[in-house]
Amino acid sequence: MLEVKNLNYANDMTITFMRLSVIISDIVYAFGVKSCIDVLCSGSLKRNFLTYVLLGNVGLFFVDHIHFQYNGIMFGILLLSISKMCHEKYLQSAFFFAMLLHMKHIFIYVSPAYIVYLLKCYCIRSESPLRSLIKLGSIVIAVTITSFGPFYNQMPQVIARLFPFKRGLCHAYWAPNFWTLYNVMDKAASKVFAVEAEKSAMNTGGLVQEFHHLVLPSIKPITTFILTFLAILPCILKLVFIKFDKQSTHRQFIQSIVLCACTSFMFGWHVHEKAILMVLIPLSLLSTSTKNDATATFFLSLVGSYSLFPLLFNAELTMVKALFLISFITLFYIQSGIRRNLKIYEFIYGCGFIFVFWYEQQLQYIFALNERLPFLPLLITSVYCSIGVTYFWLIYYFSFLFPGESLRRQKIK
Amino acid sequence: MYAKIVLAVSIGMLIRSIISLHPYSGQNTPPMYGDFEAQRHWQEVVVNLPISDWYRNTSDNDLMYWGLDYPPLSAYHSFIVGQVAKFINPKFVTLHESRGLTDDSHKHFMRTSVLVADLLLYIPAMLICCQLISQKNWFKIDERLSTLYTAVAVLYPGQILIDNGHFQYNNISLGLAAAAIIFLLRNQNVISAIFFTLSLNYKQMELYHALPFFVYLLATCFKESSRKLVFIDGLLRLIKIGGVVILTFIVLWFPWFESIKDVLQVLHRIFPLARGVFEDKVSNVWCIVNVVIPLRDNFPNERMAVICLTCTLGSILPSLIHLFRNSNPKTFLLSLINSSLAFFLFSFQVHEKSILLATLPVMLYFPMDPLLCLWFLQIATFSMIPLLVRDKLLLAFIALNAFYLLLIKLLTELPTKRKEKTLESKLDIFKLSRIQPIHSKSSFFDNCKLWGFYLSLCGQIILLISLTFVPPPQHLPHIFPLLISAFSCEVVDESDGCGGKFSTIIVSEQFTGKSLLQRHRLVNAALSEELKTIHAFSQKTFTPEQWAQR
Repeated sequence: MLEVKNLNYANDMTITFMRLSVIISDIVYAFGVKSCIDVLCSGSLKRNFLTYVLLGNVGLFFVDHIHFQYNGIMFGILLLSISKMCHEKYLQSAFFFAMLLHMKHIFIYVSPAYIVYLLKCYCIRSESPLRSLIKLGSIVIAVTITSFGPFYNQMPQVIARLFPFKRGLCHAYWAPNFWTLYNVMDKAASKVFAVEAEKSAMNTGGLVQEFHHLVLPSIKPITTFILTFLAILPCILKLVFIKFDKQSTHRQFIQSIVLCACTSFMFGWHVHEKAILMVLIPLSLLSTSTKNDATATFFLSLVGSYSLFPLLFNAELTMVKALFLISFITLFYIQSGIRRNLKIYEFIYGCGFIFVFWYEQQLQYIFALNERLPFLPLLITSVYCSIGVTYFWLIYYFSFLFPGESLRRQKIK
Repeated sequence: MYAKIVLAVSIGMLIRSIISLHPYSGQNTPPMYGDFEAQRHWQEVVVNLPISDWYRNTSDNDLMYWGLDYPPLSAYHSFIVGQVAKFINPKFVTLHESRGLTDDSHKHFMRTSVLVADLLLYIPAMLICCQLISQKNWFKIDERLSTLYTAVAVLYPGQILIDNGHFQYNNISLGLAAAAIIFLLRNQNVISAIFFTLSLNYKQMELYHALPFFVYLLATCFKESSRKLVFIDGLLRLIKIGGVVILTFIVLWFPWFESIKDVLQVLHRIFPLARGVFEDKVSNVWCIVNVVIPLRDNFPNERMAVICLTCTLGSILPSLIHLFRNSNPKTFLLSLINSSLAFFLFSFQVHEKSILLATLPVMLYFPMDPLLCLWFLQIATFSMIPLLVRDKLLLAFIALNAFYLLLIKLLTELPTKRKEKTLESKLDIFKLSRIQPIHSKSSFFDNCKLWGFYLSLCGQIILLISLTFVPPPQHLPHIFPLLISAFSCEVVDESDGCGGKFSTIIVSEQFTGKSLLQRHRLVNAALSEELKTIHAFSQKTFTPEQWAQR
């Protein structure tokens, strides 16, 4: 089983072993969930609900237990780190986060929020800022040395493996973000202006590679970085300038993690659809704090989980994934009491998923489009989801920057 | 309200579709395969052969290879599913060539056909039934208990493991029976009779439920009417119901009415006397008696059948008389439980899966005596372990049961207006004492039930572990299945004429089993030792029988 040349090796025992390893590593996740719930909410009803939302996260089930990845353990560590932060045990929090970064470097996207918050709350507020800074720095460096130590003589190769820019702007299946909309606009424009598709522009063709846009300017990695940075900036500035207040800053810290993750998901280079979990799980933490947050969690759970559907493409999993999502969403809807808070167009948008699903399962065969446009269902899924994610991002960003505004609106209602 | 219905249905379907991913009975085990192949083979037969040949042995229909042995409605259902299969992929049902077909897309198709029946018939029927009974005010049912009730009924692991795992369509016959109960509760007796006839014509095993239905309908015919014309009025109603039942039968059996011989052939296929009193290790009385007296050698099948019939009818009779004298829905449910259990314990050719017939009324009776019903349901699932192990469904069994019990624990923690009992033992991990109806009188009996439940759960776990990890002694290869059967064998006291009492006594054999095992591991079993242990074992197994005689 462990022989390096044994690629694609699988038998029943191996599968059971690997699956069990995921299940067992989920204990860390459960532990993280528990420690977060201890900090964030009181009252058994709220606690039960939050436990359900976090442990029952559909996306995590899809990605870890059906698709196969070890995200549970990482999100466990993230939650641990967040809970330590809320307990104001900053050094422990920093330690966990550094560990997390070395497990999966994608979490670098949320590091701006961490860095700013740690500097603000730990270093500047303490009596001797410099000493705190040294403490903090030494922890991070220690973790880094332990992690990269064995590979010190092959760093360039490691870096190249970790940050593969050759893979193109979007993944084979477009993650539902800004670039999906960009691609579609490009496609539409090329149809309108009748630009010849000579450069093999079939960018939904299922290949992982770089491609060129036809009408709109092609995107380089550096462009995505600048865009991401600019988009994160307001959020970070806000985090820098808010007053420290025990109750609300926890919430704002988590919100800024959500926003950092979501912004990088929106504009990042070669974003994978699984990265939506990085937004969804911290966001779920807030689902018991206010009605607005609960609604946002509800909305993004629906969109984000649906966007993971293409990961599970086997026919026998169709029922499982659909029913999983329906059960989760319905129970969330009943338990959270967000009925009044959900706007009518959000509801209609949510119902639209039924048609997207229907098209993929049945309509395309009825209209006999499945051979002519085999990738259309994937395209529709990612475009439809990206509309939702973009909407969520705008709304959530707005409510973070101007919390008073959204509160006032709620009162007027 | 709608959201709750959607939730119940979707969770029920979700669990079923997950269990569908597991292996089915007889997957990759030629030459006979299992129940899955049986169902597929029936589709193959009924799609390709003329209707008169369905039950007959012909050159194209080898009855020795999974010949059709369910009544006509089942055959019609196979026909419809078979036609769909033919439309999707003709290879699924090609005559002769499709035998033992093992194909992922075919598995997916068959699994979906069961899920469709769940979605359209079984789950709605159970939901409506629960709803109706919750409204009946026989007992104080608060919202928490009714949520629990729905969950217990819709997510019962036994039915899911057999239908969606092992592979059968019990959900259709049980769903039809549940529909019949629904209409009976709504006093629409004629429609109820039609549904029950349909259910009986889907699986002959529904005979387990037939007597209480008959008696209840009979009793209600002569009950509510103006004084003067009681008898004539009742007779008219009886004729109406009887006529409807006969008409339904005629419609369903029409293709075979050309000759008496055909009808007899169908009947012969449906009630196979030749197969012996029981097939595998079943947790019923005969299987345990067989340990002491080898029944198969001493009694010919015909005589055994008569003995079985007498025992069964004898044990149902008190319950039926009681039902006839106090015919109300509650006694009806009790009588259904008694009757189906009596059939299960005493009748001829019982399958371990037939316990599902008893679980249906027990599930519906749940709010009246939650703990006892839960206990029974739990043991009933456990009694099917040998079957599930053979189908490689042990993992599914463990996971599903754990989920079921955890769900019950979660639901018992829902807020309620009812006063909680102040004394809660910490050992009561599933918080089951909260679902007990509160009445001060028989709290001792309640406690017995509670701890009995946990003890039997522990016993099950021990048996399960020893089944999985301890190799059976060589000279007793079937010891574990037998122990499981004995452990799960329940005996129900009949609801006696006056009181309508109902109790389940579980005779536990696990300690005998353990000591026997240890002895065997220590002493390298000699022949004398073996005789001694069997003797010791069989003495204990008298207890269920004695219970029956009381």
